[in-house]
Parts: sequence; C-alpha cells; structure tokens
Amino acid sequence: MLQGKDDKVVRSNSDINISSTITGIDNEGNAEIGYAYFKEALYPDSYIVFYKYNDRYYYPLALEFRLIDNNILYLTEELGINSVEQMFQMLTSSMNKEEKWSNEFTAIVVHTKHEPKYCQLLSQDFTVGPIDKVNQRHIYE
Amino acid sequence: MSLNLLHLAHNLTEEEYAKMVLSSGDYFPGFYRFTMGDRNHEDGQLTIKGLTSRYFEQISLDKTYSRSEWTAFTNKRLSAQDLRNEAHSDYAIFELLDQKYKEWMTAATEYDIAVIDIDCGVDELALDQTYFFMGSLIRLTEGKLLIGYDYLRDESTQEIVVDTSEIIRYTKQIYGENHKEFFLPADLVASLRFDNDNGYITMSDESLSRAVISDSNNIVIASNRDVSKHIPIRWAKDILLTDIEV
Repeated sequence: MLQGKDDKVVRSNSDINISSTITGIDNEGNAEIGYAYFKEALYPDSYIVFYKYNDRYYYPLALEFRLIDNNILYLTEELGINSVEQMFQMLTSSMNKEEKWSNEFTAIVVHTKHEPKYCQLLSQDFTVGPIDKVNQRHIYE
Repeated sequence: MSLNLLHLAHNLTEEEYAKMVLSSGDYFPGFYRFTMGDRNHEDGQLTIKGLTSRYFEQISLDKTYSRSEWTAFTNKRLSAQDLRNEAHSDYAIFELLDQKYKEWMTAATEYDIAVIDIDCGVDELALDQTYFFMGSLIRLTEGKLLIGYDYLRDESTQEIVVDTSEIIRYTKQIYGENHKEFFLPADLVASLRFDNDNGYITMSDESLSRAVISDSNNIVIASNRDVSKHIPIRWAKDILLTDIEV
C-alpha cells in the first residue's frame, strides 16, 4: 500500500493547504516528496517523471492530478509541446516570473519492462532531449 | 516521505489510484491551471441562455454562426492580454507559445461545452451526479469512479472500479468542511463543431434538460475537443465562447 510509505500522497486528513512536489530521487526509483504550504513549497530542484516503455514515453496521470508542478498534459497534449527542453524553459520562466523563484527542473525517465498503468501515452514525437540541454536521471527496472 | 515510481507504474491498486486522484484538491493547483476562485462569469461570455437560444435557432430556423462570432469574446480578451504582456511580460506561456495558445483557444474544429454550478458545491458526493473537481469532470456510479466524464456522450476517459461508499466516506474525511469548495455540480452539455466556418451545436434531450436546470449562478466554459478529449484534466484552463447577440 502507498499509505504505508507515504501517508500524504494519498491523503488521510484534511491538509488541503499543503502542496506536493518531487524533490529528489534515489537509484531504486524512490521519489522524495516535499510537502509544504504553497508559498513555501519552493524547492531548488523539481523533478518531472516520465515512463519509457517500448521506445515510447508515458506520463503518470496520478501525478498530473497530485503534484503542484503538474498539468504537464496541458502542455504536451493540448499545446503540442513535445520537447522537454522547451517545457522546462517554460516552467523555469514561470517560476521565475510568477513566484520570483529560481529552480532547476530534472526529467526522471523510468524505463519499465511492462507498460505502466494509469498513464497517458505521449506523442511519438515526444523527446526528452540531449543530456547537455536537459537535466535528466534514468532509472531502470 | 517517498513514493516508489515502479510501484506507481505497476502495482497501484484501483483504490489507491482513485484516492490519489481525489487527494489532489488544492487551492493552488499548479501551473497553467485555474483555481476555482478564478471562475467568475464575465460580461459577454457564453451563458446557458445564449447557448440554448442559439441551439433552438439552429434546429428551428437552420441559423448558425461563424467562428469569428463564436470566438469574439476570447479574441477580445486575448487582445487585452497582448497589451499587458508587452507591458509587463507576465506570462511565460504567452512569450514562448503565443501562437499555439491562441490557436488552441480559437481554432478548434470542435469545442465541448460544460456548465459548472459554482455556488452549489456539495458536502458529500452522490451517485450519478457529475462534479467539477480540479479541472476534471468526475462521476460516481455504482461501483465505479468515472474520470473525465462526458454527459453528452455518456463516456469517460477512465473507469476505475471502487467501493463507492468508501470513496464517499473518504472525500468527506479528507476535505471536511471544505468539501463543498472542491466538488461543484457540473456537466458537459453540448458541443460546437465547425464546418466551412459555420458552427453547429449538438445537444441531447438529456443534456438540454441538464443545461436548463442549472443553478442560476453558473459558468459555461469550453474545451478544445480536438486535442483534449482523451485526457482526464481538460477543464483546467478555460476557453470562453461568446454570448452572441442577435
């Protein structure tokens, strides 16, 4: 059960002012989640998770709902941004201009052996981008 | 606190997934999503009266309206935002994606149209009622949570098998007295499809009834169906069509 490991990603009490974002990752694929009041939920590093299976990228719907630096699918599906490099430029710029905050985004690419559940299959053109332009960590199942 | 991403990919149960989605109620819902507090009717945006009047005109008189008429309200708002962006450079999205954003708002082949009863939030979820929740339309039916529910077509982007009594208890537990602020009665009631610059409205008898019995304090928003019909959160950023004056 998720709740045994993290009793906040699935809420157990009324903490609606608390926002959540991924602030770290270890080599086993354990994502550290930061929880704080929105205006305090500014972390120097933010991580966006993508799954990769059979040479295609997927975005987890649970995180689209649950994390504060979300609505990634608005950018990929609705506006057609298929470059993580461009996505991170936008997110960084938004944080800077709207929150007066500088942070760095990193793509976590989790390579799976089976198709991930509850995910949006991203466009065939979707690309994370070169390592010298996009911060990225790769986790292999 | 940590979340194992492989567990998330392969071992998440339907109940865990449903509860994770329902845990996302937040007054600050993230980038490029409006909060509920941002949703107020603006003079000139499409209303239920305007939508149903244009629909009856169409079915009784074959009268339709052009894209420029349907998108006039949005185009007017975009012009104002252009001036503001030039002055203040507020929104990165406008700077980097100005053209894509405008096309997303004004160039859809088909829009879906939803009504949200903004003053009628509920203290407890009920079966067979649709709610606007964090940019999605969700609905509980016996044994299932429907995410991305479309009342007009009676379909959804996801069907999650759940114990509905447990889900009702759970949302009451975690939202408490704030429950009514997060679950607003709402439904997708119409679509507007363009063919040769003429906009054709589709409604069903049921969706027409749903529209006309909306609370008097409601808002009508649109979604670009061409690019969003397959994703669960598609009402997070409004497209506002025009209350066409005749």
